[in-house]
Amino acid sequence: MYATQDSPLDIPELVRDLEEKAGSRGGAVVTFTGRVRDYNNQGTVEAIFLESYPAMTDKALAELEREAMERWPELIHVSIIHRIGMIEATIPIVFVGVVSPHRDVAFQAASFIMDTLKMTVPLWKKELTPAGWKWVDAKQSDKTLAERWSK
Amino acid sequence: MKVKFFGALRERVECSETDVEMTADIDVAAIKQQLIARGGAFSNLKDPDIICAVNHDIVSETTVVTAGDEVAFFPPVTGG
Repeated sequence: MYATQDSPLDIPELVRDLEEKAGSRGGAVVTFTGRVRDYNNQGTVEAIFLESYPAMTDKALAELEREAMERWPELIHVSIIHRIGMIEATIPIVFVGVVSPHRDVAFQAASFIMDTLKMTVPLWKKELTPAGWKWVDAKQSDKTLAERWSK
Repeated sequence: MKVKFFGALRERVECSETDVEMTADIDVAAIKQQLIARGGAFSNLKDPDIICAVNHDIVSETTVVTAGDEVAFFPPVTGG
């Protein structure tokens, strides 16, 4: 399951959904919540704005879910939900949840999804600082993390 | 053919969408050159980090585009 939404992420509800999907076989539920930090290298960040390319963003999320299921066929369920639009500091921006029979695969798949999402899903972040709005540059460290998963 | 722009590039070229005249199938590099030739804000397309997508898939500069395809240029993504 994947989605982008401009309303707040209901994390408890998303976790409840994973528990349901886990049923009697899902021995492992791993979740990741990404939150907006209230600082960057220069100072305070009040909020961010997330721009998407709706049709392509959806396609890339679908591809990411498909790729995770293909790499780890034992996965029972994958959820990837991303906020778009204006998001204030400390508020969740992304939720990834993975269900599998055992923990190892669930941890790996969750890491893979986040590392790859940051490289392939068309979303662009702008930060609101006391000096005004500024687009965020892509980070080399994110690229390095994503490359770990290259086949 | 419609060409879309996103993120910081959308602001740098000062539009989110533009039309490009096509008399034959051309590659992505040629589309980019045609836009850069307009001058002004479109010279921002010279940035080598810019990514191109055709019909919602990331492509290379040598990908050939046909009328009716959706072309988009944007900077490296920064979601998550």
